[in-house]
Amino acid sequence: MEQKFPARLGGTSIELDGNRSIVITGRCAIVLYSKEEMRVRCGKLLIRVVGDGLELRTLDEDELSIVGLIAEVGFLTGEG
Amino acid sequence: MVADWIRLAGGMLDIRVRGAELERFLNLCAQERIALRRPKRTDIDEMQAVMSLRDFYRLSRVRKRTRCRVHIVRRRGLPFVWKKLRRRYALGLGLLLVCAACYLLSTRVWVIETEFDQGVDAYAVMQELEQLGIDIGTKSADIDARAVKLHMMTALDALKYFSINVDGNVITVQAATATEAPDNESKNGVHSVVALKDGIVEKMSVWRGTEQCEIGDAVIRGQVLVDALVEQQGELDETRLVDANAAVWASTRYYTTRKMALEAGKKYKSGESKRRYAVCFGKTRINLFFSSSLTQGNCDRIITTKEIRLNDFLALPISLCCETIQPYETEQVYYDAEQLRAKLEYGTRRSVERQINEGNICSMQADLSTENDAAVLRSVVWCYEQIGERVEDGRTEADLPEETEEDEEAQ
Repeated sequence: MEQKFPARLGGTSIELDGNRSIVITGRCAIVLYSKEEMRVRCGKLLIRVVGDGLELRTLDEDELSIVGLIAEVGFLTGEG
Repeated sequence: MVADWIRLAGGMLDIRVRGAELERFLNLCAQERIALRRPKRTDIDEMQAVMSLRDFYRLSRVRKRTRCRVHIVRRRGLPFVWKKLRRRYALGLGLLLVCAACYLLSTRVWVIETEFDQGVDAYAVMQELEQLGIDIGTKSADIDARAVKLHMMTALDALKYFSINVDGNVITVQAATATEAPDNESKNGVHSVVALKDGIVEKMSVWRGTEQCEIGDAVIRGQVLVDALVEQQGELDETRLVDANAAVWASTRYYTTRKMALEAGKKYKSGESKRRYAVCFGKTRINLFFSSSLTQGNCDRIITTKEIRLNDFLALPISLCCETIQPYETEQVYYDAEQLRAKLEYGTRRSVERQINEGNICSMQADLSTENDAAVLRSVVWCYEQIGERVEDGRTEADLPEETEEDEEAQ
């Protein structure tokens, strides 16, 4: 059965710099904030970042960046 | 770094936020464009961040909506320093006075640097400047360099170059006298080249005139080396007087005798050296010691002055003087003639070098003896030097030998 993927992620882009930082561009909101796990909502997309010593570096209207030792990046909601 | 300074100028606050909805607080801050720098979660219900003072005033709305408590941990920056110091009137007044003093001091001349060529009467120049009102403490803006230059050039005839530069509170005075004008080498003058010293000719470069000697000839002082009279050389030529010019290099000899007493006074330290300090403010000197400035007994007095400068062009009117007083006594010492040989030979060389205009010393033979409690060095110094000198020839066209008819026929 052919699987359908959404055409776009609602203007959100995710940029990973190795496993040390992640930059999410677009309108984002923090859902969960801790040193081990962060959850960021970008429209319908919920991004989960798991790692160690996670910290917010920037947080403004259009950009959010997290630094730390990133172990896993996942999407909890399938659609963007 | 610069950005940090700019932020500090506006005031920065280290804050601690406590509440159950910290995520919401962060989101609302982002939505309201309140910049939180270096946010750090310190506990499940606590976080720390740095923010500007301006953003802190806008934080109240967010704070109420999220039911978070914001505590100021640390205040940094200019607004807080100002708030702390604004009631300290004496400090403010002191700062104001310091600023005023700096401004006033920077408008005046505190250092006069001189660069005078040899022959310039430094005392006369400085006296003239003083009469014009240019001295330590004069306002820099009042010095019209152009007018001063004009005045100095007219007042002091010997000066052929004068300049005055004002850089901050340092003025540099440069002056020079004219060197003697070179010999008139006009083609109309009649000159011959004569020997300035005795010697043996080794090299000749004749540009005009008739050679009167050859390489290897021994010449004596005053002898004509190149004559101004040039004989007729062809049909179209004629006998004429020219302005002879030549460089004649010869080996010359100097006989010198130099004496030095075998007995001499030698200084030796007779006590502990002492240092005294003084502060000079402009022309006023304040001694930082109680005794008199005059010294008693035999002593060396070494004075070093240190100007206080902020940079090359900004000098403070204060200089520090340090005097080192070193008492000494003299003791009669008797030298052996051989001990004085090096000094005598050096003196001989220097005296011969002074006599040579163009050339150098080739070798030297010296004989050392002792006469009447003195070391005597008799030396012969061989040199290689230019001995030709142009001198005016007294002859005129009328002195030229007349051509007879027989001569014409012979031609």
